Amino acid sequence: MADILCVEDLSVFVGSFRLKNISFRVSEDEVFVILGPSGAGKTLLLETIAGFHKVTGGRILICGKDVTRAPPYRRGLSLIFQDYALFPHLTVRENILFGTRYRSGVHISENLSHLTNLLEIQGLLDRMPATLSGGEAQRVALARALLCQPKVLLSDEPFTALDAPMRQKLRAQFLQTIRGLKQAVLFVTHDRNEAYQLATKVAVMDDGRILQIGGKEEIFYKPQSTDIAEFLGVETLLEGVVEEHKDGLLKIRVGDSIISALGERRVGEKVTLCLRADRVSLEMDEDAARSTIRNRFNGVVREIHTEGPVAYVIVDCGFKVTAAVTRLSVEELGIKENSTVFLSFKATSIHTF
Amino acid sequence: MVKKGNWFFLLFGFLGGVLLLFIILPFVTLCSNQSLENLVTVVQEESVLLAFLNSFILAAIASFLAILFGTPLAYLLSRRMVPISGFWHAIVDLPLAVPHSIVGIALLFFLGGNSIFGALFNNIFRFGFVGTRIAIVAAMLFVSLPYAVNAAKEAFDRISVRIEQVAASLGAPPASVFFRVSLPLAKGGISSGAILTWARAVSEFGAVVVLAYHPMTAPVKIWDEFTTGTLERAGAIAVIFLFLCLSVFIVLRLLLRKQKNG
Repeated sequence: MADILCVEDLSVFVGSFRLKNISFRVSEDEVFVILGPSGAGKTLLLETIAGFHKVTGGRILICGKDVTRAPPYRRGLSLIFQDYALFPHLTVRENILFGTRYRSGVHISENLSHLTNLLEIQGLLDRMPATLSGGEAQRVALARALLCQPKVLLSDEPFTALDAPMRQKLRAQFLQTIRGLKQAVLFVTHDRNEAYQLATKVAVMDDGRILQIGGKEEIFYKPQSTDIAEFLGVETLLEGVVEEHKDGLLKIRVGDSIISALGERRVGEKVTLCLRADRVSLEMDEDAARSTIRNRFNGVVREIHTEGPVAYVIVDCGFKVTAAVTRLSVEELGIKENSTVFLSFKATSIHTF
Repeated sequence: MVKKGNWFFLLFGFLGGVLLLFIILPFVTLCSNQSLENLVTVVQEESVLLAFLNSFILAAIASFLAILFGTPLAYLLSRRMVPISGFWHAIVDLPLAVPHSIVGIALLFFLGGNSIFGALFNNIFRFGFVGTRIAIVAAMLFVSLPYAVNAAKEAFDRISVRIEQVAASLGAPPASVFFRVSLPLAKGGISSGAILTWARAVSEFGAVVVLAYHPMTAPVKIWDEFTTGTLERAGAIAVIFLFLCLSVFIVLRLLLRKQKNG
């Protein structure tokens, strides 16, 4: 797949904000999510790619063409924002068609009916933006952004201002709409669930730097530092020392216990272990726990938090491990605080750094 | 029954009410002291009508020029497209702080017969600048332009930068962004500014009288009657001018509101 957007060693200073040596590539049909806390510089990065800030170092290439110094209107990309930014004095139709006079060779009427159908906004075309709900306004903004077939769609937390059900619906519609458009999507968010749902690739950003780039499974299951792991919500982080290393299998001492993991580490090396809660199974009796699994421990339930249909069970087995199970399982297995449970997780589920 | 906290509203109501009466009562007494006969007489005099006409038309020209030159400046200042924009904005406000007799004298030095610009003006147009309607417009423009620029700047400030960024990303060059997005959104504010600018220009006396005693605008005519004629005639002309100004001001404001709501 061809790289559409290519950012090379980009540095920007704007007031007290700065971006330092940012590099990444986004290819066709890829949703590249920049994930980071507020103030990480995500919006500044997006605005810089759009051409609203002067670059102090590095390059921005779109389809191989250097646009580092090009004005925003010659970059061939479009924007959607959290606050929709519709033109309040124009109808929905005029909003969507705004860019058509600047771009030739676009099948306007075909695109318009395709997009309005897909986004379910056919009935809104003659309305004024002030009369739209948040969800409607953002779908109009998306149609406007996509009508002229930009090479890159830049999205700055477009769903953050919406209520949860609408956010969920729009994310699905968003993915459906951009599928197969042969463009690159750069999506900025602070919401890790949104990142996991939308991304094909993720870059974790903080303090004006990119800390880690990778496929979403890699980022979420193999973070490279405690900061990243904590920001991504890795439930169990343990400190340990490598005791044995044989054929890629590690035995790591954590407290009084030994945990098996895979990887290449020196004996005696201090490591941090990451374990996602969804990779841990819980049983009430030892026999039911799968015996082929290397890591099996018994412990006492300390806390149970529920979030929607999921229950997070924190188990103390000399070290604390969080397991995610359905609420139904909690009821059926009779898991309560202070009850003794058996937990197991595969050596491949442990990531170390 | 006196509710708790009522003293607060009573005190504020009293202080504010005194100020409102201070504005209203002089006008009421001015109007109530005129005889109908005097009013009918002065309104039929050609010199009086000409002074009214001068005031209204020249103020309209000044207001138009203030908007024409002031709107681009307001946009540059609002978007901080120029260095030290705060300083330039302070310059725009300067006419508000300077006594208007000083404005008149400064313009006289700048454009009078003995200055370079005055001589240039004389060479091109074959007549002097001082004592012309052009001089009156210059004086009116100088003192009223802050209202035009400030109103336009405030209107541009209210537009979200995001909206202009989206327009640019959709392919609109800066001029297109201005004429298709920023200007239509600022139109209401600029129009209000134009009305305010006109009202300020129409009421100008100090700067105008230094640059052009003749041709007379209404405020100069009233001053002239006050010093060389009688207080009664000056009062009669003043009342008619006051009503005309208020009528135009109110009609324009209503038209603007109708346009906004429509």
